[in-house]
Amino acid sequence: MGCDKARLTIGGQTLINRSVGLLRDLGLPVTVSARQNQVLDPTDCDRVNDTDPDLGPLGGIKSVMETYPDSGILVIPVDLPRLRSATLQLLMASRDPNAVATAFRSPGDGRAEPLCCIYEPAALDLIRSTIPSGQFSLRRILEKSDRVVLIACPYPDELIDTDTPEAFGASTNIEAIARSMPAIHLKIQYFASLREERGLSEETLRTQAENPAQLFQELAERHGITFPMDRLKVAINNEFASWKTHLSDGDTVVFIPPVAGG
Amino acid sequence: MFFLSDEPIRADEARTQLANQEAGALVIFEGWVRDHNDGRSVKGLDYEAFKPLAEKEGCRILAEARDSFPVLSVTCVHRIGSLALGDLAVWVGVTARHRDAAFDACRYVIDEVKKRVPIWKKEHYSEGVSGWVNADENPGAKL
Repeated sequence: MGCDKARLTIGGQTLINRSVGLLRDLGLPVTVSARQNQVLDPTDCDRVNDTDPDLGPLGGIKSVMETYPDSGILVIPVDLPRLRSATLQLLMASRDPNAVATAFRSPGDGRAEPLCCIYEPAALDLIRSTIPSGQFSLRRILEKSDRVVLIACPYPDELIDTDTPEAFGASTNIEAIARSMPAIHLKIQYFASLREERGLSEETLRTQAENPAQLFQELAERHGITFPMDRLKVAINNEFASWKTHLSDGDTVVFIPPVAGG
Repeated sequence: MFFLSDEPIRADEARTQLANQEAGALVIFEGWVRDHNDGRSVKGLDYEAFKPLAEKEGCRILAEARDSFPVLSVTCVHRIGSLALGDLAVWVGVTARHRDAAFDACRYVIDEVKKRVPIWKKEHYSEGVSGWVNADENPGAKL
């Protein structure tokens, strides 16, 4: 039946190990999705067996999301030998954890590239609700949502997979899947001039920001907040904190504009 | 004690509560809403506070004043909400055995409150525009 595409070697490295390495370069914990009976090279990372092999790549992604329901996942296939971690960093930089997914536009038709894509927990509900209708195409599922962030890939060659599988005698389909860094839920409160600039006094969001400085930059970029960070102070859970304080799930963060009591 | 009040400050009541026969001095500072600021004509203002932290920081300032000066009691009440010209915005009262400590502690409290407590002031100008004091680069320039 031919060999497994994942075990093909390029430059002395199997495709599976190359893909795992790309994700490790990003500092992400890596999970490999594979079929139950699939024998993999030792990759010393977590493995999740595809519980719905009949669904194609959708089944593998769904199985991993069900294993890590609170975490966004960055999915890459094993068969993109040109893909570089710098390109994945571009995708991560555009990530909106509150969206359904963040994907590159396919160089061919401009639609979402679902196998090099960040799926957020909200995508699992979408996938589950779509499967009963017999819709197993990830692209079509993503097109049902208006909360998919699509970005252009400046290196479209990297999204082209290996030449026809037949040429290599490859027979199976496998995705290397990384859990992205677990996101946390935060409550943000805004006061005075910042409240007016943001247009609301409170919001909760999922984020990967590790400290208030990263969080403020993320919010400033997303909402076009122009208030300079060096004129603000920050409080976590109703107490002044430093910009480098590690944020934890459930924290309440307040950015404090220059005060003017009295 | 440090309080935030969304109702008019009752200065007489606050003063009565400081009564103490050991005290030889009472110094009171009252901050009022003034009809001008930075050369602009002001017709009213709003105070907004990040309450939990404002109360904590206010209490810390009062504790510092008690530790630094030989006073008997220190109280501060700050208004929040919409204020009209002439309204009482902040009230500080300090009792001490002797006047020096009362003056010094009162001055310390109002200065630190203005610098540190997360309270913000939005001024409404007579031209119909408004601005956040200290935060907006050019208060009132925005519509």
